[in-house]
Amino acid sequence: MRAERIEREAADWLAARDAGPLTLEREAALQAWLAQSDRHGAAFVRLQTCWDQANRFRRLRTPDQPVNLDLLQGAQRVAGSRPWVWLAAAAGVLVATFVLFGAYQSWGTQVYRTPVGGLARIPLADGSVITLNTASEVWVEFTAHRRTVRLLKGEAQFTVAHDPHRAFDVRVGEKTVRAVGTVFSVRWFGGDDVKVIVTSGRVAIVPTVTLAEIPVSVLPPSIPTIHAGESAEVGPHDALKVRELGATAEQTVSWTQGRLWFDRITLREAVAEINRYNRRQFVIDDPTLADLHIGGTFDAADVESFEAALRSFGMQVDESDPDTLRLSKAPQS
Amino acid sequence: MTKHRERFLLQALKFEPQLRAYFRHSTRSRTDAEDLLQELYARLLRQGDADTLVVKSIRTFAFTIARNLAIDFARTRRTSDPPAISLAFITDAEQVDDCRVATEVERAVDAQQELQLLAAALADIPTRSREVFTLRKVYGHSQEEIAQALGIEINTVQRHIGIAARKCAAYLCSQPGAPQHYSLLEQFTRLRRRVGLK
Repeated sequence: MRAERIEREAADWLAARDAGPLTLEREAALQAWLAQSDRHGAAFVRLQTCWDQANRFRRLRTPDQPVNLDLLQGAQRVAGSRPWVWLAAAAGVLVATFVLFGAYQSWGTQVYRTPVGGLARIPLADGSVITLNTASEVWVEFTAHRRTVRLLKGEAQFTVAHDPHRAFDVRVGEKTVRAVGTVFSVRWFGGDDVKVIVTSGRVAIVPTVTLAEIPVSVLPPSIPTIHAGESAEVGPHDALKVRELGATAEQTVSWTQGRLWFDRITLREAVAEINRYNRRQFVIDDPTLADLHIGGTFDAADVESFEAALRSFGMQVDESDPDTLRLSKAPQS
Repeated sequence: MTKHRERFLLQALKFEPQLRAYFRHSTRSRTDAEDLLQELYARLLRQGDADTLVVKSIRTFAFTIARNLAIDFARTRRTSDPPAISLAFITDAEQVDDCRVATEVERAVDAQQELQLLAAALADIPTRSREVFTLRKVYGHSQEEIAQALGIEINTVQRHIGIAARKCAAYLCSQPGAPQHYSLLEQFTRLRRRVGLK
C-alpha cells in the first residue's frame, strides 16, 4: 500500500511539473517532499525518467493525418467487442487480443504474424521474448499455470524467462518443445518435420499427447533433452536426429538479426531459404546447378547481393519476368 | 559516466521485471513485492551518494540488495528465509538484455508493434486519461492546449497525466532489454540540467 501511495504522490508532482516550471513555493515543497525519504526520490526519478522517455511515442503518429484521439484504444476495442477481431497493422505485424475474465484471473490469446520478409521481436508479459522470422505466425496463451505458444507456421526464436512454476511450451504440429529458462528456435512448415536449435539451456521435445501425463513444472527426466549447441530434427514416426552444432549454433540463428548464414549447402537449399524472405522467387533453370555448394552470409531482404554472389559463381540471372529470377550457367567466354 | 546519485537506480530499471518476479516469488504478495521494489530503488539511490563506489555488475549489485531485503522481510514476518536467488533469475536477465539487436526491418515493424503493446498496457485506465496521454506524448501538445481542446480544467489534465504516467512507466520498465534503457542515464543527465533536480 505504501509503495502505491508514494507512487501516486510522485505522479502528482510529475504532472504538476509537466505543465511548466513550478512556482518557487511549489518547487520548495517538491524538494521538501523529496528530502523526506529516499523512497520518494526513487519513485520520482523512475516516473520522471520514463515520462521523458515516452517522447519516443511521437513516432507512433502518422504524419499528415489529423489528430487521432483513439490511437491507443485499439487493444481495448478488440477485447470488448467480439471474441476474435484481427487488427491489421500497416507494417505487417498482426495482433489480436482476446480476453475472457475468469473468476480470479484473466486469460488471453495474442496472435502475432509477420509477412514475407518480416522480422519482429515480441516482448511477452513474463519477460520472455519471441523473435518471429519471415512469413510466420504464433499464438501466445499465458495462464497462471502455464505458458503456451503455438507456432502455426514458419520459424521463431524463444528467449524464455525462467519461471520454475510455469513451463514454457511451444506447440508445433503434434509436438511440444518444453523449456524452463533457455534460448531456442523452432522451425516448422507443416507436416511432421520440426527443427529445433538450442543456443542456451536445454529443452525437451515430446509428443503433445503425452504432455498431459507429466507435471507442468519440470522437464520430464525420462525424456531426452536437447542441449545448448545442438539441433534436433524430428521426422515422421518421432524419429529424432540430434546434431552437434557447437560454435555454429549462433550462426544458424543469424536470421534473428536479418542475416542468412549458409554453411556449404546446395544451391537448391540456399534458394529455397532465400525465397522464404522475398516475394520475387529464384528458380533454378539448369538442374546441374542445383547441387552446387555455396556458402556465405547474406542479408535476407537483399536479393541483389545474393544475385551478385551467384554471378560471381559463374551463373547468369534472367530478370525479364517480374516475379522470378531464373538461374542458369553463364556462357563460357 | 557522470557520477550522480541516480546512476545505480537508473541502470537497475532494466531488470525491473526480473526483480519484481523475485520479490513476488519471495513474498507471495503483489503489494509487498511493490513495497520491496521501491525500497530497493531507494537503497540504490542512497548507494549513489558514495562517489567512490564502483559497481562492476549492476545486476549482481541490485540482486544482492534484493536478496537482503527479502531476508529482512521474512524475519519481520517470522516466516522461513526466502529462497536464494536462483541463478536463473540473474542469467535470464542477462540473456534478455543481450538478445536485442535492432535491424532496419525490425525498426519499421516496431512502431506498429509498439502501438499495440502500448495500447494494451494502457487498456485499463480511463478513456479520458488515455486521450490526454495521446495528446501529450504522441502529438506533443502542452497541458494548456489539451485543457482547451478537451474543454477541461488544467487540474483535471494533470490528474489524467498522473494516472497515465504510472502505467506508462510500468510499460517502459517491463520491456526486457529494450534499447531505450541504454540511454536512460544520458536522458536523465539532460533532465537534471533542465530542471535542476538536487
